[in-house]
Amino acid sequence: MTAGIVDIATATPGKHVDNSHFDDIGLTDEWIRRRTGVAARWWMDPDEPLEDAASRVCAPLVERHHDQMDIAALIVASCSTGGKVPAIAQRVAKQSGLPTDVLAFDVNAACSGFVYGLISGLSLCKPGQAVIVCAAEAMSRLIDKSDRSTGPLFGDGVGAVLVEERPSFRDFYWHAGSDGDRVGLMTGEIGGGIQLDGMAVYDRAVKMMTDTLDRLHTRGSAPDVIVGHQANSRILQKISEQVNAGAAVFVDSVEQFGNTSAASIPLALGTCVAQRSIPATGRMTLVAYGAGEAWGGVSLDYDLADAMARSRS
Amino acid sequence: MPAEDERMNSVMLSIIRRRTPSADVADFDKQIYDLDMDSLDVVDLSQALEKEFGVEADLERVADCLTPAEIGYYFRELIGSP
Repeated sequence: MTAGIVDIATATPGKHVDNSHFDDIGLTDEWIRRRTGVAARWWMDPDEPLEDAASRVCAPLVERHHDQMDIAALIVASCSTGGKVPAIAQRVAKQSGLPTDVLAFDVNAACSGFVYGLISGLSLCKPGQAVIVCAAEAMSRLIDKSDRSTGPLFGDGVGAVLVEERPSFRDFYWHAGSDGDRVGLMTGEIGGGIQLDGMAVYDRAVKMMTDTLDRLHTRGSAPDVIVGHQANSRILQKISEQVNAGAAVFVDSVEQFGNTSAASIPLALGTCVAQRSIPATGRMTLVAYGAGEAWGGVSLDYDLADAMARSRS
Repeated sequence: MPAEDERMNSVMLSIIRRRTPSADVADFDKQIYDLDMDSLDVVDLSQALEKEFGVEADLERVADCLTPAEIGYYFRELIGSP
């Protein structure tokens, strides 16, 4: 048996901020949309602890599954925790209702964090066990909101999936890469803003995510759904033109959320479930590129029929 | 006109005309931003030329170019044509 995604929960705590917020720094809605596809984003309350936000999506998964499955691990992907010790995964586990015999740890691979966490979670999953992979980002705490280059790009959000083994699931496979020589393309810290070489990042994001998708799809199992890191609609559009995606649904939710770093893929997937815009079961390919550089993708089966039925009710 | 020039012009016009549908080769000396192109369009242009001619560009060099003609000169250097 092999593991796949069987449930999802997402949330966007805080305030909804549309592009008119940036009128004061001379950026119009039309200008922002044309360059990024972003129409709005959510910014968390600055005082809300990130572990509280993560618990909002992990607790429902624990509640729905802990009676049937041993939730053996919780992985929290984030690049906006502030880099402090301790990590937040242990507090998220406690606040979400998990018992203390759980493997709980943080992953920081910036925008690739959810994909890296998912590859790890799938690899940890054993029969009778489940793993929660969560991404929690408060990018509003990193950005300089008055910076014309990066202020409008980023948003906040949290999402989590539960993975478990099922007899019907086909093998998952993954590909990932990193290049520390390109560390200068994207950097950031809380209170220090985000520095971004926009042209180079666009160039590399298109090339590395396209290459990763090509590598995964040549191994077989054509996807029903492709979800790329939701950084910029123009990156997603370019990739969709270059890869042989067949009849797969190519997801773009940049307009609603902006770039939410590691949280972007689960937020996009959560929107698909709520809108029932993807098949309830099938195969998906998730791919990301981000600071580090770190990029990667994973092709896996999913069954979100129960999640879709729940969103209907 | 050499076949290589025709290929280059064709690729460049395919990108430039997304923003300025009436553009022609005579417009290659105009400023990139006067053709309604932004920095990501310049990356698209560079990637299209890389793919067409099988070369790898230095994006910093491309970013320094002010006109499509300058980008064309740079790629001719890469390709090794006169």
